[in-house]
Amino acid sequence: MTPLIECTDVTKKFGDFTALSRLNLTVPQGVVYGYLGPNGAGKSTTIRMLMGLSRPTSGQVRVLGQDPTEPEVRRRIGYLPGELRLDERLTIGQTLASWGRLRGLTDTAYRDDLVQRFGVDPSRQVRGLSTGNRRKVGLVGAFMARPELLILDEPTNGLDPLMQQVFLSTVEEARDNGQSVLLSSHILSEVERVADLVAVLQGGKLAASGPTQELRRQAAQRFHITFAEGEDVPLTALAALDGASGVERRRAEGQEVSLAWAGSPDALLRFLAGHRITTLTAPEPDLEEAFLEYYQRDVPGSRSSTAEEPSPAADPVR
Amino acid sequence: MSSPSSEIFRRGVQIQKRTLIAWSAALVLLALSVVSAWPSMESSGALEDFSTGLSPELASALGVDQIASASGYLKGNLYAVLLPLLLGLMAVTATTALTGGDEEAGRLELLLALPVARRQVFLVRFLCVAFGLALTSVLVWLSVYGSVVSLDMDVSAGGVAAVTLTVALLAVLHAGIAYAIVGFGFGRGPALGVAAGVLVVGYLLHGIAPMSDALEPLANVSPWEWALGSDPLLNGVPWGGVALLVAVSVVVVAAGTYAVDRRDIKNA
Repeated sequence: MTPLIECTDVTKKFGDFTALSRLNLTVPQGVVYGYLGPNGAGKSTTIRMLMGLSRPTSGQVRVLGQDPTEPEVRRRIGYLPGELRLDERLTIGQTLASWGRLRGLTDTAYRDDLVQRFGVDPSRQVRGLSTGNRRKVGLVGAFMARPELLILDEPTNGLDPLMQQVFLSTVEEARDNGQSVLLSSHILSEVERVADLVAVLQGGKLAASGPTQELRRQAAQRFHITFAEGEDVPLTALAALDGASGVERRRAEGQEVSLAWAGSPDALLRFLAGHRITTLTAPEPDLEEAFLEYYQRDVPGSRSSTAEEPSPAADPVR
Repeated sequence: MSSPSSEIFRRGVQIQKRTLIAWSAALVLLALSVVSAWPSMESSGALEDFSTGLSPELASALGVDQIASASGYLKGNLYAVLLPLLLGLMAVTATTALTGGDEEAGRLELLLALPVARRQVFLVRFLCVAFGLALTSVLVWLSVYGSVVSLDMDVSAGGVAAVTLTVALLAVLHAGIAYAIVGFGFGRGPALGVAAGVLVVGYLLHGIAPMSDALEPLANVSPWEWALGSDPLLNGVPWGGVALLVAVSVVVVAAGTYAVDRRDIKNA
């Protein structure tokens, strides 16, 4: 089966600045794909190439097996730009109708359903809409033709929590319907719920990619340990353990210690067995936790290699 | 016209509706006020003195060499400088706003991601500008022609139509130059500056180069010369000049369209 999106060795330069460096990305059919990274990592640069708005400096971009600068490919894609600029002179209804005519959309039942769901008032003038309300209009426009592929750049920007839920269930519904969704975000928790696969971009390079569950397992796990009263708190020894990072007291002179742990917790438990502790808690691992590591590294390696080579010294921030 | 093209066209016209109305109203008003001043000017004899004291070359450069005749009056006060300059500026500003301006503001981002070819979007938007210029020209033509008839001026109807056509084509050519510069990715500002610069330099070459024997051949490279050199108000449509204006417009628009399809769309 042809992958929906295939980037091969894609590099994009703006003058001397390399926005994207030898990116390889494959998005298979029928998945929700989270495209993650901090601001300026190159997410929008990639997405604009996927939509045929710009071309790679080198390498090849294929969407639905074709060059996305061909207009016909784009009939099968719904796009929400990161910087959404709507025509101020129109009402929401006119805006959606205009997009529909340009797409040749005839069946408007789903569009009307989406309008209801996102709580958009078609009679309202675009001028005067808030960022979040504009985004909702853009989302209705992207979903309304039920395209095979949805490419959404920072879709939840400016949406209130209720609308974020509506958005996420619309994404899930699209996937159940056989559509695929690429969504970019710098907020990991909002992608975590729906994404089957994720890729993490940093400084124009792919830092990690794989199934969300797997990355979650490999993600550094935070542990909170309370040592018994009178027991010496072995901070240095903990920090020296292979796998520990960000070792710190939660309060100065307190007995509570917090640390991030990568890989199997075997060694940590064996170490703790030699001490008297009163509590040991491990909150649900969070992708945020895992990715903070990437964000703090200058030259990211692949996720698996960082999991094998944790370096406590490289992580003085926590 | 296929459905996406007509949609893009309708939207383009809608976008420039207000400025189009303003420009048309201003130019019609200008034309009407120029023409309606003719009877009093003619009876007062003031025009006889107007060009005395000017060298014949300078009078010709300013288009006032035959100002005492009705068609000379129209030429000197409307068609020689004012109308082509204003219509040219309208062409350049409208083109840069609809293409480079909208692109740089991010307003083309979604449109160009829809299943329409980029060249189609840009070309149709150029056609919107050409349509606006045609509409304004027709309105100015009707106002002048109507006044000429009602004031019983000694001006040929064919001449008014001919000079309106060449002035409109001159404006379209400058719209094409602005379009091409945007097409090659230089952006709104440079397109506005260069196209307006070509308009002004073209006028200077057409108006001033003939005053010096050494510079005179240079006048022939000016689009103004192609449009107005043979005095279409008196002598009718200069077909050679019209062909040249159309040909150069087609070339620059084709070049801009070719280029825009092969470059990156600017990020807002």
